[in-house]
Amino acid sequence: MAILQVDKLHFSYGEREVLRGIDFTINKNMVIGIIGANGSGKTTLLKNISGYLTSTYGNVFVLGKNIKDFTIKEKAKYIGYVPQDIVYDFEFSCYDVVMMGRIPYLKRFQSEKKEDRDIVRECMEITNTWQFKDKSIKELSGGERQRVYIARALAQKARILLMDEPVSHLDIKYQVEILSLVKDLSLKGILVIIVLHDINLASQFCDEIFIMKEGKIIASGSPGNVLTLNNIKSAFSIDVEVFENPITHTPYVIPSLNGKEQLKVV
Amino acid sequence: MRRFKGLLALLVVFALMFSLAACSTNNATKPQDTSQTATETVKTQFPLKVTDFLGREVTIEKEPQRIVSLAPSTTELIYALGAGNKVVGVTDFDNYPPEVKNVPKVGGFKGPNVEAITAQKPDIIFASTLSGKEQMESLEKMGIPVVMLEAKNIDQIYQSIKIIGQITGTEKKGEEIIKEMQDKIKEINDKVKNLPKVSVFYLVSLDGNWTSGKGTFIDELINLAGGKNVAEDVNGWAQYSVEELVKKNPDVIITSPHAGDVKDIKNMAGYKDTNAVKNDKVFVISNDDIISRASNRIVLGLEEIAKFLHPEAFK
Amino acid sequence: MGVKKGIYFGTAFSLLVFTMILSISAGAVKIPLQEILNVFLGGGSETSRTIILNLRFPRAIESAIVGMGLSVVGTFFQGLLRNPMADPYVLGVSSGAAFGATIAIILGLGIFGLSFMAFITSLMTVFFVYTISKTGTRVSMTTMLLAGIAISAFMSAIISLMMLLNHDEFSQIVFWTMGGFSLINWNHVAYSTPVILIGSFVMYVFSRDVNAILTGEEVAEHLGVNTELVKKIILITGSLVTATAVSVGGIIGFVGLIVPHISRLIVGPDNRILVPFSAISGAIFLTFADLLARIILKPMEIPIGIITAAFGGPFFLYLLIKSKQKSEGM
Repeated sequence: MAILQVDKLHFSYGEREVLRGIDFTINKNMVIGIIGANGSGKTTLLKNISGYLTSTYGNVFVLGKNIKDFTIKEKAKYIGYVPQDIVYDFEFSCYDVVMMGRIPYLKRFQSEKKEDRDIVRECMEITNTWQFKDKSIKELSGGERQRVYIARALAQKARILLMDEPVSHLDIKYQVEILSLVKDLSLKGILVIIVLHDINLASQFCDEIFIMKEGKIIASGSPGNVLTLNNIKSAFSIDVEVFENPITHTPYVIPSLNGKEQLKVV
Repeated sequence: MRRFKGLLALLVVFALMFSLAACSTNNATKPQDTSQTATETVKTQFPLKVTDFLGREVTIEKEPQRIVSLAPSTTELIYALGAGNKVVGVTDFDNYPPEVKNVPKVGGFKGPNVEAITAQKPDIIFASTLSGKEQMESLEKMGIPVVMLEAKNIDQIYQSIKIIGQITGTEKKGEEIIKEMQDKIKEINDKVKNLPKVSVFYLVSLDGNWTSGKGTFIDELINLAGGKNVAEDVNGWAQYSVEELVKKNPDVIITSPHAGDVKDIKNMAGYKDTNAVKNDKVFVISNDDIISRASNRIVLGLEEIAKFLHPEAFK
Repeated sequence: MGVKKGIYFGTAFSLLVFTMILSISAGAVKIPLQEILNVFLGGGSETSRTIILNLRFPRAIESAIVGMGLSVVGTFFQGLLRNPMADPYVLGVSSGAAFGATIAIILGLGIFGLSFMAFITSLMTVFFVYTISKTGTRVSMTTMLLAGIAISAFMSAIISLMMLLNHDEFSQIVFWTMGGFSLINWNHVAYSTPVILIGSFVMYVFSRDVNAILTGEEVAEHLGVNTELVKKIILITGSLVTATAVSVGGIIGFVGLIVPHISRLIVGPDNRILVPFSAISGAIFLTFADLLARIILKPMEIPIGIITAAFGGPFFLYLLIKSKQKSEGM
């Protein structure tokens, strides 16, 4: 049984078709990076996988079951979602925020049990956020905040973790920190699908990459197979030179000078 | 933005409270007695200097032919004096006499409209304290004399009549009206002054339980009509405690046609237990203008109230 | 924290009981404590009985209930709209109620007709605001907020127009909107108490969901919260409670805005604790405000909106400064 199967997926916002036929199957836990130009449908794909949006045609199967047949609470037990823009204009402590991850398991009037508290602690320790438990989330740095949100998704005991550009606005230290953590999680039995802006980060940390263009996946596979001149030119309309990252031995992409265009290095 | 709206609402409430307080407190200075000037000359000489209710000395160059009245009470007096044909502008609130329906409206509940006023080319404006200081000042700067009248009791109504009479050259008629009023008031008061005083509560509006306290016309009329206003322990227009009303236990309740349903009043907690409701002595005045407007029709209001309080004296 | 919570709630509840007793014992007419006791024991003079049992008692209860209702709705609307400036009237309930009241006054429908009209039109207004803010199956809270403001402005204009064309009723309409509990009797208590209590409880049930929504609607749904259902329920119930409060007490400002904030500064943002605390605090606040409104200048009564603004505003500022000092001192 596949962990995640997406079958002839189409989605339209009103008249505008954004996903034009997405097909893929994932059988192993890994980190999958989705890259593509803005507007190619990356976020929409993520939200269709999570079931937040309902496909206009086609289906999504999580562990063999059609996502349309899940209740909202059930979905939350299988899929964790960390959005692009994190709201943090509230006064909850980090502990409270992570505890919200246990909502799918709590009945309406049920209070949190010891089991919930243990899980929260565990997730916060894995993400190295336990020391912030009593602090207000407003007081944390961007990277620390991100980790708290990941801890929350973990507290959901999700099988699939979806993340939408989690590191785009973070310092490089935190970018590496978060992506390493995420890689680690995939080794612990979680399928991570992450939308990334930076091709090289994707190349470095992802086991597989999907390149999206205009609502379709134009290439999927290991970074080495996928990050070719043609694919990148097709998806991003830019010429690049591909080198090998000496540390990870995965492709390292650099925009190239093309005679007529001068690229200034700032 | 919500906070601003809350502040704005607060300002409106304050403005309303203060304007209601201003309506009632007796702070208009008593005008200088101009009757002396009037008796010295047989016919008014123009240019005329009058002192209005704010103590301002206003010079009127010649007898006005185009009058704007910004207070319904003043409008009534002008017509009563026979100068109604000279009125060229009134407010939305004017409703008496019926002729004013056809007179152009130059002001409403947002205050006087300076443009509309000047469009009528008036040569005098009768205003009240509600007329807006800035608007009146700008009209004066245009050379139009503004006379402020604000009668708070019957004596001051007589003063208003005298001033308007002087200005419109109708002093003789004015004296007649004053005498009529005085005679009628004496007639009514004589009938009731030796009768035991009846305790009265006047209800302005059921919402908020508003009444007319000390210093209002209604208060004065109640006293002249052989009654005692139970709400004389508050000044002007005020929300009155229903508890206190129960304690005072009025014999008669008089209400305006716009106060609320009389049935509701009779069933109201507190009201239910008053002598007035128990003895079915809840009366509705026919018209609240005749008891709150500073015009000569105030005697009609007095008569109605007196009949409510002492019906036996008027058989 | 458990002990602290206990202290806060214990204190708040005691304060509520104290305020209620005070509200029944004090008033424009001085009635000695002994006489008050007599009344509750079945005796006392007829005047005292009327005042205590038919005037002060229902009034104390009603001001507490309305204070509670407005505060609970304010708390939930601030959470749902994720906007600290939200209050129970933000979606058009107050302007809708004023519109209905204006029509009722002009048509001379009497007191219960007025309450009924105000109630109906306020709900219709919120329904209208909700409908125009819907896109497909979802409704955006931001759009509702903006629509509520726009509709309120529009209705105010219509009301002004109606007042202009109906001079005679002008002052009555103004008096109604000013709000207050001058003529509360047991009928008001009878129909408003169950609606407000049940409504508040229904909303309370969704406290944890609203906690999650505070961290983002999309995120909340991904956490298993049925956000659209929660929004609908809170909006409907909140509007019912507010409409009821307005139909008995008129439009009383500041309570629904300030009490949740003050409560939040004391017990924190978790709605499961905040909502009951707001409820009690709101009851205390409004009952006390009503008491002041009727004894400060007795026997004259001050419009209650002035009291809530005059005391609510500065007290809130004081708490804000104190909490600012606390966080800066850290």
